[in-house]
Amino acid sequence: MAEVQLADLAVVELRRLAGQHGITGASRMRRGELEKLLATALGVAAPEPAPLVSPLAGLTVLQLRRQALDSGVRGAARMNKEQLLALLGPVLSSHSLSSAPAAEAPLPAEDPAFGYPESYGVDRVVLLVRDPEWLYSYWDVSGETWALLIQRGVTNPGNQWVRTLRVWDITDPTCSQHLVDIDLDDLSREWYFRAPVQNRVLAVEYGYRSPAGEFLVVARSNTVQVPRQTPSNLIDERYATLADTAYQLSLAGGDPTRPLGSADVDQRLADFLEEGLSSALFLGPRAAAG
Amino acid sequence: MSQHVGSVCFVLHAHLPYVRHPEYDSFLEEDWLYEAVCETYIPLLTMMERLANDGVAFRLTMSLTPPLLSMFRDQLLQDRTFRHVDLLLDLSEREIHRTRAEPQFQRLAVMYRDHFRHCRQVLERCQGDLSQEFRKYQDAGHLEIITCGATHGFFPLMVHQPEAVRAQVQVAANHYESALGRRPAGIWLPECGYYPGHEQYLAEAGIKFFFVEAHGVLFGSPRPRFGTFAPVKCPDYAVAAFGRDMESSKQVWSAAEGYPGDFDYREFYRDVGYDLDYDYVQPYLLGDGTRKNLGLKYYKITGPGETIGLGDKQPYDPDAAARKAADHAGNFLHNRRHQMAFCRDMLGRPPLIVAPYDAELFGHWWWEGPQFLEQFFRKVHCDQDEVRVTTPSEYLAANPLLQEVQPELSSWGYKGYAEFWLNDTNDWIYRHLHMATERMIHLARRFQTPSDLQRRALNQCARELLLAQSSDWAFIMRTGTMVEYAQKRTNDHLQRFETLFLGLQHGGLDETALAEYESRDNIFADLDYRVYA
Repeated sequence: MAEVQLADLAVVELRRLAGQHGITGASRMRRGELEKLLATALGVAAPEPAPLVSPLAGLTVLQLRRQALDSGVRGAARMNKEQLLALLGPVLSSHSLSSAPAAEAPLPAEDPAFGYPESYGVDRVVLLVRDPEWLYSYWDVSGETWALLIQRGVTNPGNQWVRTLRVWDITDPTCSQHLVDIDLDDLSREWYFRAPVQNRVLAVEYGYRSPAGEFLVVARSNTVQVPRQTPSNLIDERYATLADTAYQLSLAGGDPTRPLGSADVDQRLADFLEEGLSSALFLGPRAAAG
Repeated sequence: MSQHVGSVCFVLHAHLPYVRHPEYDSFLEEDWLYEAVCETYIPLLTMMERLANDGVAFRLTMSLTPPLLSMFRDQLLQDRTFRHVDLLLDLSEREIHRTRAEPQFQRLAVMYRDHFRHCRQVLERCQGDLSQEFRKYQDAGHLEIITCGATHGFFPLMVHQPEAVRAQVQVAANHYESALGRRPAGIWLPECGYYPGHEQYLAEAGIKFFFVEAHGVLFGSPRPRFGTFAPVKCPDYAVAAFGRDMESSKQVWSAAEGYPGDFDYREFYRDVGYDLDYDYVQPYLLGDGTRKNLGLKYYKITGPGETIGLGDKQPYDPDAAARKAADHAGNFLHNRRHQMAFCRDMLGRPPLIVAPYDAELFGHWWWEGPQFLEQFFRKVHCDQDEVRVTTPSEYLAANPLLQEVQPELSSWGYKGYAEFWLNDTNDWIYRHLHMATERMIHLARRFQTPSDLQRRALNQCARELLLAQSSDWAFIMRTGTMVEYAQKRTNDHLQRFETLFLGLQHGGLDETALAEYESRDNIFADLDYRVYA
């Protein structure tokens, strides 16, 4: 692995490599941080970071606004990038790089989302189901809301508000149940998290939680149904035995030599799905048949 | 009990993303279509022709997705398909000459020459439009053609935007009707991706059935009485869900145990495009002249990949391979008969085995796949009367009473859910796709009486959004090959959408840009943007 030129790899490849070397959270890291950690893991020298015209020029408007907030600048939510750069240049030059470490280096142009707005200027949180165990959420915050949050002091680190996804079980809409709060990283715009329950209807709130327990909701998500990963408990009594036999047969392939009810039957479904017997042959060639 | 032990429903899902680049003389990714035409679609049509001529009462179900149907019907792509076939015809003629001293290779060159001649004849007969060839077999009652999402968007990741799902279904059903002269009775949900409740949008389009992966039915509620061996009816809507049979899928599909890996079958990865002198093959490469597969392959798989390298492969023997395909068809039938007899005894009724595959497995990857299918249908017809073949519509007509079960969220992708289309290689696209959808809905509601120019822009917005939604792009990003193209397509369609959206919202529509987008992304000529209202 010593020949690996980290600087030559795409970020996606760096992330994959990081995964292979047991570095967790790689999916959310940027090039600088990935290279640093990988260099340590692989025992090679980290590449020199690319020279920057300005340490700020590569930051997005949102990031600049957050920098501005942290630096005590007022009204940043309504400023455009040039105004922010002009304002922040002098402020940050004194103590900038401690608050903008390598992980905050500008996104390289290979970033697939290059060219899209950092924000659509709406308060929004969307919840999606990846599988019965994992959910995915992304969010967006409008300039107006940012301004309000600043006004309330929510974004001031000294006040210790925590950016939070609050997960609700709303299967019974008359009696919503607060399941769990998920603390978010400062700069994250999306999050994968474990589904706290299955076979329930969930929604999340994106917002800020104060040390005193106050919760400011920025946006509430759509609802999703987390699927069950087991046969239903709802059984037509007349056919209970039949349904059980049919389930076993479906998994065991109806092979008379395989005893039904054997322990490996459930595993067969997992193996079957793992193999991913499907989909887009031209686009994802199977392993060489030979 | 009768001789009848059960029925098999073979489903081939034929899909390619809409790839058409008039701005280039040739374009690498367009080859997906030309290769699939020569290696899968025409061989399947030829199989059906032979079976029909011999009076074999076969039953096959195929989804021809709207992008694929559109490409079949597109003049530019038809012309380029002819060009592709002519090039390979020319190459195979040269190969017959080059291999004159090596009979074991020359017979293969002759096989390819004859094959491409045949392809040309089929294309000439239908004037380049294969959709009409498929239609013939549907009209004759052998083939049931079903539809798919308009651009193969993955529905479970549109869960909060029902308008997006509805548009994918409505546009697809309307397009099907214009291409095939009737409404579709069934749909293959893109990636077999089902989210509970989506049957509503299917019912609205008059669709009567869809398919789910095995666990979509097995984890349904209440517990299905017959497991995957009978379709179920969704509550509230007259829409049936057919569950996939795991065992028959595995037998054909599995990389480890599946038929296509047999050592007598043709090796996909030895291709003259890489094997022969560059100068010799260069005229057939087109584009930037990078080596690529040309479809002439002379070797067989030969042995296990661990011991047989690509260089150790032995010449392909088409006769031995044909015998093996017939053996495998017999084995498949034998196994189904046992599976069915066992299930029938345990369940008290003849089971239905639903066996869906990607169509492009047959022929493109598994060269002998169409022969396997043909042999299977012949054996079912001629050799026995216990196992029958059927289509979903035929089955539903004969078995109108279904148990009511709510199927569960599922897909036929890796691990059975949405992970392949939602992970750190591709999750960034969804916020943009969703925002474009939201804007499309807004536009459709705002513009009730648009000018002609606005109407064109609105329709084009819908096309760009639909094209951006193809699950193929997220899929490619995850596989890690050709990622740039998938990103480019996502970006291009979303940026074209954005340009038109801004023009519509704030005035100042750029007619030149619009015309350019219309000529490039020309899918769904009859589309009406109000499908999003």
